[in-house]
Amino acid sequence: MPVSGLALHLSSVSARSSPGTGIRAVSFAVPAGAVHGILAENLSGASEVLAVIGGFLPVTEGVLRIGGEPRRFDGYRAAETLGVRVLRGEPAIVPHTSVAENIFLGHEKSVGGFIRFDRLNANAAELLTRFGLGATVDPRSPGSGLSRAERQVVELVRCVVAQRTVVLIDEPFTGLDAAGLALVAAGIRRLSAEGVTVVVATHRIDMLTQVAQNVSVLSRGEVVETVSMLEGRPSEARLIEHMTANIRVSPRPLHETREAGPVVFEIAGWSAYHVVDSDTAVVRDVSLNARRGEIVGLAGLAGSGIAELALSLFARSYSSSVTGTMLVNGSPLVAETPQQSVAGGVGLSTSANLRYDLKLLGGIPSRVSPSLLGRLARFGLVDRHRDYETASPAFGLGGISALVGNRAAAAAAADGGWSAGARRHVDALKLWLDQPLEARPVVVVLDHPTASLEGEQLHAVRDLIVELATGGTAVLLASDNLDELLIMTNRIFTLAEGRVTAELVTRQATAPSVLAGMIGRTSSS
Amino acid sequence: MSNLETKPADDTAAGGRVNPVENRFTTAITHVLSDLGKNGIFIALVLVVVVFEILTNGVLLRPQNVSNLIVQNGYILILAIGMVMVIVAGHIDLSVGSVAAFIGAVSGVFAVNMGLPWWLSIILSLLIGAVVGAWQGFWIAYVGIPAFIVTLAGMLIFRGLALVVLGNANIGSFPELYRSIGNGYLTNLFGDFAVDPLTMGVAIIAIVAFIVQSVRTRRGRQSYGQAVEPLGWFVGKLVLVAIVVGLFAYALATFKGIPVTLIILAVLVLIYGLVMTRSVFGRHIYAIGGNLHAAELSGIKTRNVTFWLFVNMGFLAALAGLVFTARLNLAGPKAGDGFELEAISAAFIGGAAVTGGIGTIGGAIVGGLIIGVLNNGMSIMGIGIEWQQAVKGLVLLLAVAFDVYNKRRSGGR
Repeated sequence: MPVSGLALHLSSVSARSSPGTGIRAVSFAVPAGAVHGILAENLSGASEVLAVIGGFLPVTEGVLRIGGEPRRFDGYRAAETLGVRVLRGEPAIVPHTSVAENIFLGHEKSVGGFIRFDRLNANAAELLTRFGLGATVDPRSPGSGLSRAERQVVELVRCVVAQRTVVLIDEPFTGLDAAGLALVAAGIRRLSAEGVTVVVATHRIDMLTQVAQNVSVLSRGEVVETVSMLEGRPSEARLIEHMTANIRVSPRPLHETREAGPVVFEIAGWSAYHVVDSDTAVVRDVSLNARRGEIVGLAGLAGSGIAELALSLFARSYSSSVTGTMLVNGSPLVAETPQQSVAGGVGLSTSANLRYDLKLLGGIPSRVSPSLLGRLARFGLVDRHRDYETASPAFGLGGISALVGNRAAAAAAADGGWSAGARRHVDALKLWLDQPLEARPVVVVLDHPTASLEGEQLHAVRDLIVELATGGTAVLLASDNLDELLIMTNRIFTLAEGRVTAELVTRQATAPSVLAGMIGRTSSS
Repeated sequence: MSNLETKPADDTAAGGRVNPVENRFTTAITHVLSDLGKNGIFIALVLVVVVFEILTNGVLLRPQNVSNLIVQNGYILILAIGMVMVIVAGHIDLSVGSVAAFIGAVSGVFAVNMGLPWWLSIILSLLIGAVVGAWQGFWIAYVGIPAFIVTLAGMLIFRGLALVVLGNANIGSFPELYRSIGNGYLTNLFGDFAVDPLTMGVAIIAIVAFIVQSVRTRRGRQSYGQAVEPLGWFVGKLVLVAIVVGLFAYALATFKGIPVTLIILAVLVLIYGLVMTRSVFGRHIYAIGGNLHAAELSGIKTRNVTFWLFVNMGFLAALAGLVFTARLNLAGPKAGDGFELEAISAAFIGGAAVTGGIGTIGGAIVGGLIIGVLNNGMSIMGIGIEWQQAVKGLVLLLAVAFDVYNKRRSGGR
């Protein structure tokens, strides 16, 4: 079943998504059946480019041509009828039905409503062979037995079955080992050989050289250059420079003004394992430290493990198991519960708690983790009013403030126009700052505190962070925002694939050097 | 029945994959073990039967009682078929007992009060059952209210409507042909024998069909170069099935012949077994229960599937209501009380997963039979209803606990 892919042509396409992000005047062309790469770090609009082509985001300016015709999609369904498909995130696999059924899901050929399973299995086996899985995957085995890479490939095979014309793949290479990477890369090449037009957005330069004919390098929503990967391929250093071309470090180098004290926080050999897939390490053997009053950046792109690292430091939230040692003020801390982490002087602010299933309770006015409920209770009954008082440092819950809102913040949120995620960070920071110096946490972990903020809100949050550090608290700032890392921090640890790839002193670092570490180039400074 | 037993979840990843180092001996062992694991529910049924055969001093397997086992549990087994489909899709239906009572009452109005022909009454009743299912399916599939709530409401609504239709009275004395679906027998077509030849003939045809089907499946697998179970084990299983079916038929043949309820059940099991294992609709039910997101992304019209699933459940609940009413020859306000719980128990004892995506028609039938044997055996022993309830509850808990333990051990989440 050969697929007739459609040619893509973007000329000066602009689009806006959430505040501060978007793409401006993006132009590139992809011949039918070719693989085009989009090389960009997290905030540079790669996802937006895919969203525009996939019909999720309207074009505000410029012309998007698919198959030679100008298109204006009023939603992704319109794009889908044209055969355009966006693949992002975890591949969707039905665990208890066979691989063959997964491949043909929704496109089963039937006689009078009944499936011919011998034919289905034979067709699936043939497709799997074409995509390099013929020897390793039995089409009759259940979908749950597929590895991560195999799931990605099954997702690609589905695109052939569904006769997709344009397939847009967002970060297909995260969380894979070398064999898995090779498998997925071969799958993408195969998809193109089947006739499908493919666009791959990733920060993996090495993988793009394997799959793509041309690559557009994006920096902050603009195409810096479109290069051919076949001949005269530019060096990796040059590509990294392109990726950071539009990053401007604002003239407020806060890190210069602070003086760092003794090391108050240290982890060694720290590993954390995937929540579901407990054999996969998402944080591998990380060792790092932070000084009193220092802001340490944890820099990483999607799939680098920084979010998981940040969460694993507090009460071992997220991950099925955590190994390694943690020293706070020189003494080891083993904290299995939020209470133990807070007592040990560690604080966390994250907007990810719902996603990571910390089981927040409803019914009381603020977000409370069940493990804290005991402290809100009087004579075994939860006191609704007492819940509001958790802002009081005397109550001893300050460190986990991100998990416990308060009345003032709730009121402020109503008129402040903050997003729910950002509000939690502001709640947390204010709560820590309201405490006397000696009662503040020794170290706080901030998990992407400024994600999707801009303008005054952005500055307000950054000011709070700096104020907290000035008070003597060590701050671990997990971020994928290069200029934020360069403005805010004293030192930066870059992570890729769960490992520390570089430790940089911010004063000597540049956007390309940080990005190189985030992409996985090991170096030291 | 075992050709309906495709239980994908039990194919462990290791077993399903091509493994070059395995030799014949280990293959044989793996096969026997995985078969025992797969057929654990059958073994449980055999155990329960043996235990009660001993405890009741042989009364359990007397011809009359074997026949009773089927007739007394027929409506639960019919409900279990629909229920396991609903559970596989990740839903639940608490209303089936009330719907059965409601339809029983409605059929009473048709067949007795209005004096419609028995067949027309049945057809109209089944249609109303499907409409009831459509009503619930609409709220669940298109409005998006959880099935638990919709069917909890349905449980109250249709119990109430049953009372309204009955108007504080029982409707009784149904036409004879109507009654036959609950307590009729197919027998003596060829004259009056001690052992009914028709029953034995049907049994022999069934056994031969089963053997032919099994051999064909085996040949098919071999021709695709797939691993098959050792020949000895294969033949042994066939012989075992033939003996069990033969003895079962002999018991029926020496009593009154084939109960009409059993015929209805056999047809339903064959059709729905095929639907669940082979049809696009059935496989989409598994896909929705296994990973709703994946199903939606793949373009499956998940809402329509859910809707028709509940229409079907309404239809089967109506059928169960008819069979029950016919058996009692009475449509009463208490009919169908607790049916939903027995049907749900049957599905879970039969290996359905609470999380959806896993479960088979055959498993649910066997689960229902286990409950039936427990009920029947304990009644024969003169154990009071209170202890029967407690024992059934424990069996359900243990069955699901065993299932959970098994899955955890095999590394699944």
